[in-house]
Amino acid sequence: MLIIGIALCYLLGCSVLLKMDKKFSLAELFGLSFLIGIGLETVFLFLLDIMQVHYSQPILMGLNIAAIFFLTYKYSVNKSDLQYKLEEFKTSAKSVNYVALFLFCIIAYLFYAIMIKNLFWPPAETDSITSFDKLGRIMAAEGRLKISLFQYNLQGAAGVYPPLFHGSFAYVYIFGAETPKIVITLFFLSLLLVFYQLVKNYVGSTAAMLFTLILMATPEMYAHAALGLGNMPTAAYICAAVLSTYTWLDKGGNKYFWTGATMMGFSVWMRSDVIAFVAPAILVVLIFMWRAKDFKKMFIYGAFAALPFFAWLLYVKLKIELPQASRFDFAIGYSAERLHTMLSYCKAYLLAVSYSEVHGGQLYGIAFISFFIAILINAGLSFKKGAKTIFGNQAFLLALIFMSFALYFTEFYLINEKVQAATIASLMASSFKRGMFYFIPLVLFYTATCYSSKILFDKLEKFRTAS
Amino acid sequence: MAKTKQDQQTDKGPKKPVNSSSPTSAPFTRSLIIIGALSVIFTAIYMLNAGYSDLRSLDQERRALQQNPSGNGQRLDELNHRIHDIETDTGFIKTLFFGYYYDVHSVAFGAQDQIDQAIADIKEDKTKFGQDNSGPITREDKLASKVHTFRLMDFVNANCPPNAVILLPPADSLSGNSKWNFIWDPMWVEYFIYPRLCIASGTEKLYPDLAKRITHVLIVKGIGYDKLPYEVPADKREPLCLMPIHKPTTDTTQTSN
Repeated sequence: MLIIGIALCYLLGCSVLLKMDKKFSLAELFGLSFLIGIGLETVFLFLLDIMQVHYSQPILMGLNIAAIFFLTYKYSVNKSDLQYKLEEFKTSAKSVNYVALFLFCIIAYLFYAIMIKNLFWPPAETDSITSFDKLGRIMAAEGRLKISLFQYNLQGAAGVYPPLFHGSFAYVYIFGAETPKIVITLFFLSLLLVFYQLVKNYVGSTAAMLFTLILMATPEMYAHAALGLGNMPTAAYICAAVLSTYTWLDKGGNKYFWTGATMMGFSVWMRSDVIAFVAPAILVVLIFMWRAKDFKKMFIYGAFAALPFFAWLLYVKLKIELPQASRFDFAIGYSAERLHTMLSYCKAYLLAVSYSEVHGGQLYGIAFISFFIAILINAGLSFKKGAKTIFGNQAFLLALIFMSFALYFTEFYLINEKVQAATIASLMASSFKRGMFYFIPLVLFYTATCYSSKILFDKLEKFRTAS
Repeated sequence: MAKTKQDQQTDKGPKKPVNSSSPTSAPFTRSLIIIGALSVIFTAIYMLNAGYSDLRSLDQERRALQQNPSGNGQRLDELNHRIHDIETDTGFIKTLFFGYYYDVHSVAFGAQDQIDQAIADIKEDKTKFGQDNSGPITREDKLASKVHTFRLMDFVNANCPPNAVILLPPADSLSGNSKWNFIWDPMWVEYFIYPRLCIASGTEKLYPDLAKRITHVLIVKGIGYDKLPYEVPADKREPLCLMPIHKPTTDTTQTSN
């Protein structure tokens, strides 16, 4: 039954994608189908809870089949669409890129190794036991989102988190999974596939494969591909949301508009704190669409990105009845000591140095360092060739990354240590550290696709193809 | 109409002289050169931290020699120097790539071995606890090998009805001992004992409804007898057991091994 459950999830996601656009690559179809599919499954769980319908396999299967039928009954297989797919396949089969193939083999081996480790062990991490897996298991057992443990405050910290992550656990439990970690492997696969395709759009498959390898091998990220925690899966959504939005703004077209908007919505359906990414994205889209006088897209994007956030806030307030805003202390004012602690941790993470018990280099490898080096090189080149030539629309991507980081930093600055029952140092060494995952695909995307990298990879490609 | 790549090449003038080898061999050879260069870079990154893999065996050898140092002084000195060199070599580049080395060496190359070892350990544990180890390894077996208080939780489940409410031992007397990690935390314990409920010691006033329903007290390291409304003779106090909240007419103390 688990295979049926996962297949339905993929089919549902695929149906939505084909409704958006027919020209998705195979990597995008596989990667995005799961992210959209599992996101929608948790929306079903949410709606069933509101309607007080008990979760069960038949109900979910019925809902899935009805949704897939509704999305695809008018879908006709166009000859040109098939030709497009066939051409794509033929081109890749004819001109084998041996370098990309070599890198793919390394990625496949690393993926296999972490997958067998992930699937062997049940979740045993403290956060998973106290929150995520507990919520997922009991949601499946009780057939509702607001489980009985809320009555005695035994639900754990993630009880107030939006339901995408623990809901995905509940979904596979409903379909008979012994442990829910299959979804971790599928989230990781989606992250890699989506990142690969979005980078490939700009610099070709060799560079895209190399940077996908760098992304996957980022030490802390790779370790999390075998843990039952929600940060790496959130990074998959943020990666798809921000980079699709950027690609849409940069290249135009409907495909990435819809994926950007949908993924942005699912990002806040995963964790409310990623509003730090949604707010700057809406601002950038607002500027672009205002200039283009396309108010319809502006409204649709804003609605898709913000509605899940407010829907969950309302659910927490009206049904769960737990105050969420109390996690923040808005009257904190200026605290030099707190700021110093936070900045010291940030310096360690971003510049790959040590602070207290953490070492940024050992956690994130070359991810952030290469980003800063790329910015410096391009800034240097901009003196010669002009900032517009060097940065172009990527200035908006950089603005998005820096604004999101500033907001994410502010969220942690405002956290009420007493309510959170943790010091700011311990939060920076744990939660903030894991939150840095969200930035890794974004900074690696910039490093791979910036002006200087494009020149470098163009030369490499010319050498490889002997052209 | 846009020109194809081939058209553009034709416009540039006559084609370059063709090599004697087949037309596809040049890109293939060039691909091999790039693959070779990448392999060298990856191997260099790996070797940069390869000394760490020797650390454990060197340390084991040193410990063995320290047991019997006579005549082994020179080797002990060599080992001390080697271990010192590895431990203090923390240059920026080296630490930048240490995580990648760990990913490949310990996680990727070691994944299957670690799983095989875990299966062997689990089977050994099952034999130790008198269970049949010929069957498949279950989720519970794996959790028991990861979470050292899992068997205690299992014991609680076996000796309490599903509607039981268990008072946990106080955190302040156990939190310093990693052996009893989280046994006082109701959020953590609840995962293992659901649908039974639990309540943290000292929070009875916060959750009066739950406190009223307490059916058992979990005694750990002999702590918790003061929470019982009846006296248990000193000679009958087990260090690790589950006590009913109401005085039983017969001895129903459940002790855990």
